[in-house]
Amino acid sequence: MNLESWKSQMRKGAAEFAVLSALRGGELYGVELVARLTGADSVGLSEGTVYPLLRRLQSDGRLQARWEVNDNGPPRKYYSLTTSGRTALEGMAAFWNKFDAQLNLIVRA
Amino acid sequence: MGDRQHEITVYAEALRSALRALPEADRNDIVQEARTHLEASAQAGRLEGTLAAFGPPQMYALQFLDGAAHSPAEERNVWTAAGSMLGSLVMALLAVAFVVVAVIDILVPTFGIWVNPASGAVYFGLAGMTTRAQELAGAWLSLAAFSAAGGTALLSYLSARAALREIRRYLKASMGGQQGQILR
Repeated sequence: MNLESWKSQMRKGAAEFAVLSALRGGELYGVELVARLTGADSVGLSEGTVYPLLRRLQSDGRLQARWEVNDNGPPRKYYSLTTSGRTALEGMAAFWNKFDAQLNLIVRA
Repeated sequence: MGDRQHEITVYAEALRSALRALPEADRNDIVQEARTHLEASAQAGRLEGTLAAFGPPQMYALQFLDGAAHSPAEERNVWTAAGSMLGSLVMALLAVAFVVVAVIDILVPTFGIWVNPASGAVYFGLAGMTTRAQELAGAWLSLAAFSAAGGTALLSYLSARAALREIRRYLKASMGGQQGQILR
């Protein structure tokens, strides 16, 4: 079996779940979001992958965005969950809790 | 700092050009966001690390192009549309050529397909190139040319209709990809 392809399958859903979770508490702009996700490279999230994913989530309607002019620097694009994004996140979180508990029961036995 | 600004500008412009397949609003959005991030990194003194994480602009751009409205299936639609358009044009030109042949055959009696019985050579054009020629097809030539013109005109029309349908489908898909776009 190809380990890399297995990892990439695992990451696909996880990266999306992580980004939606990071926005649960309210809107963040890209730099803040990347900082929040630092150390999540095993989940497939790094500086180089967050923005393309944000864009995809936005065009899927899970996220909405607004630009804010910033007096001290370049403009910032703030992201927040849409209603559909929040619903998706709740569904993912419920599934993850069950998945994590049941899988660990087997893996750590 | 000037060097860093220059580095950021060079990266942003290369990214913009690598994203030229996307609509301008999307391109501006992506490039501005990358600039904002690179400038924040530069201020934190870690621009090089971020540039390495983004990777070469062409590679970074691919991630946006893959996830955009232009999926491979839709790209194929564009090529199908272009092919159909070209086919339609060729068929239209052929139809015009057949009509011209038919009309000339009616107006100019010496125009036709001639055979030289001695050599067996076939000529297309005016009689007189050879004195002993016999005409092939005769009046049937104009009839056949008119039929061919009708056939090719019909094919041209069908190809054009198929092309327009593909273009409409492509445009609809592109518009869908831009929903929720908020730009200054």
